[in-house]
Amino acid sequence: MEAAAPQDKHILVVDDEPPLRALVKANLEVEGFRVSEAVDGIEAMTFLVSEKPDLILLDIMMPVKNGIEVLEELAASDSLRDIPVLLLTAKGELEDLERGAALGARGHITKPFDPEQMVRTVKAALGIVWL
Amino acid sequence: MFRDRVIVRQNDPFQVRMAKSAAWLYWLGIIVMLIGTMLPVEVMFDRLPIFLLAASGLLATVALIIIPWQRLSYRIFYVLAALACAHMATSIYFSGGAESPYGLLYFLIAIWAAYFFSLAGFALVSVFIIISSLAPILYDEHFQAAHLANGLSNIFFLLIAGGAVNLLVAQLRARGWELRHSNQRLDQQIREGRREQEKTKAIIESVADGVYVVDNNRRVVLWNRGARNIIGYSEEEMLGRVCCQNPSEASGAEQCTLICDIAARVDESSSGVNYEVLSRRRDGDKIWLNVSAAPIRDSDGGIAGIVHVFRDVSELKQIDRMRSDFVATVSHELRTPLTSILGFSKTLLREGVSFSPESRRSFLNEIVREGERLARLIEDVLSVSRIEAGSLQLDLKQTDPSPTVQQVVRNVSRLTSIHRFIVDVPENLPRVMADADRLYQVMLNLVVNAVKYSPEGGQIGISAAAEDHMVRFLVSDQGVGISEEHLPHIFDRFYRAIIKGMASISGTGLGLYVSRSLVEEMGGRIWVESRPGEGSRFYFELPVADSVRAETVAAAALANNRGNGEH
Repeated sequence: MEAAAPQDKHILVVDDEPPLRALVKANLEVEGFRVSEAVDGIEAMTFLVSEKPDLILLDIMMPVKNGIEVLEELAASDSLRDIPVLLLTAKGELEDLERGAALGARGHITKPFDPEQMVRTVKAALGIVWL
Repeated sequence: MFRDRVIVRQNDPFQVRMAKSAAWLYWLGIIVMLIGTMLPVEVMFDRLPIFLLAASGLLATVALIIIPWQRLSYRIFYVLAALACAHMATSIYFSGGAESPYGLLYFLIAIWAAYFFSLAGFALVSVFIIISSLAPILYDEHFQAAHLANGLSNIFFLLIAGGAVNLLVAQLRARGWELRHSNQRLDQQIREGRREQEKTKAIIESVADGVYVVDNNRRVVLWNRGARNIIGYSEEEMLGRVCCQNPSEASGAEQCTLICDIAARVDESSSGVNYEVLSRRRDGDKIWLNVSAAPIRDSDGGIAGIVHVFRDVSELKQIDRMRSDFVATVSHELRTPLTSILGFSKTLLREGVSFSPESRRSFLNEIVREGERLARLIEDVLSVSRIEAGSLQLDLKQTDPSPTVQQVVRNVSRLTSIHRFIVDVPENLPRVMADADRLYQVMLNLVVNAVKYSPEGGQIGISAAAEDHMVRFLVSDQGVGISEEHLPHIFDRFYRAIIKGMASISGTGLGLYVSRSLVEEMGGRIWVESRPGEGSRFYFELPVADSVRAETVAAAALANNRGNGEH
């Protein structure tokens, strides 16, 4: 059911845990995506000044600028508002999910996650496969 | 015996009234008789003294009848006294009234003596009366036996009358005594009451908890020392101040005390409430108070006021918050490595995609690294719970620290590729008195911290040196360092320094706390030297094992730490 090649799709992973970024990156790259990393909200916003990825995977719990703050900035920006965002959350952070949904997040991936499931969710958000 | 009777009478108001009126009648009768005897015959109508005498006799008799004294002997005494008076009065009257006032004079003297000197005085006066009334008769040149008989009978009746008066006076004195006695008792009761009150006040003052009472107008009527110590306001400042239900009720801000939030809304049916409230000290600091409020019931069951007993629970609250923060942190810290371990395992198991051997190897490395992180975390959490419970078991024995240091370096160096480890542990390092596993745990925590807090890489130095009777270990890095405000706290439980510009330093705030506890339990000490941007130098010392003295030092330190841990 693959509608488009993922090669030209660029994904930004924002998470403060290096192993987690490595995990997401490895699984997406093996599918052919181009993956960039940011360790926190500030680095993500800096990255977004020069590049416009097709999708952002955004962790909520980060020490410097958290995911909700990033979402708020994205929603306020004309050029960045359209980038689909998937939230990376731990189980039980329901309030954050609601807040994220209200700010325009397309969906979420709950940690710990199954890598294949994560890849499918990313593809669905990009319109590559329909679940 | 008078006292007993008086007390019995006092219990019955009617009897008391009767006795009083009877006594007055009796005295009235006596007075009427005296007036009769005083009157000279010449100026009086012939019959008047007789009337007076009859009237007084009647009065005295009525009095004697209605006096409800139960003992017959007293009645007889009073009858005799009355007869004596009557006899005296008639004999004086018939002997010429005022011409012979001696009897009356003696009588008055007898009363006076009886009143002021009781029975002894009366006896003395009587002797004087006997001598002074018999002497003129005996030495009279016109001595007549009839005069002597008359004098003797006069003296006889006088004595009886005096005795009766004495009895009455004694009774009056007894009444007075009773009155004084009851006054004394009342005084004593008041004194005791006051003492009791002072005792109660002293007790309330000594209560370490804050105690304060408001009346129905929400006016502060009691504010104890404990309350002053907790809130900071003195009794003088608080007494009389009105505590408004809510601050907007206050016409002027100064009328409303700052402790209003403590005040309970206790209604008629309530038996008391317990609540926690965020209040403010006099110096402006916020404090959490646990308050027990209960209505003060008066004798009718209505509410006379509200008593509040409160204590400062800020510290408990803070510990509670730290604990729940800790639980949140720990669960996050547990989940993070678990996510990686599960994620990389499942990545390796994915079908339809193939990873290069290098990638597969790096995934396995991640799994191992995160698994070790998880193991370390669990070890720290377990240690904390054992330290807190005082059940930490140490297997103290002579330990060569070198292999432990090497093992730590070997394990940590696998976690990083950007750090250079420089180990300087001399061959001839003396053995230390330590639990090898715990030494490993401390060393591992310090070295992992050195890696964690130098994200740019650099040198990590690990060295050990014998120093006096201790072996001093040093773990140094070239990382971000620790600012002055964090330095005093970094060994505290749950404390985590927040370092600006560093995004991803994970941790539970347990590592250094556990390290300090373990080192101290082993009889050593731990400290740090650091400056922001210049890296950190963590030192710890353990006692040398190859001397008896070192062992006693270790034992003493151990005992000392145990002792400290207990309070």
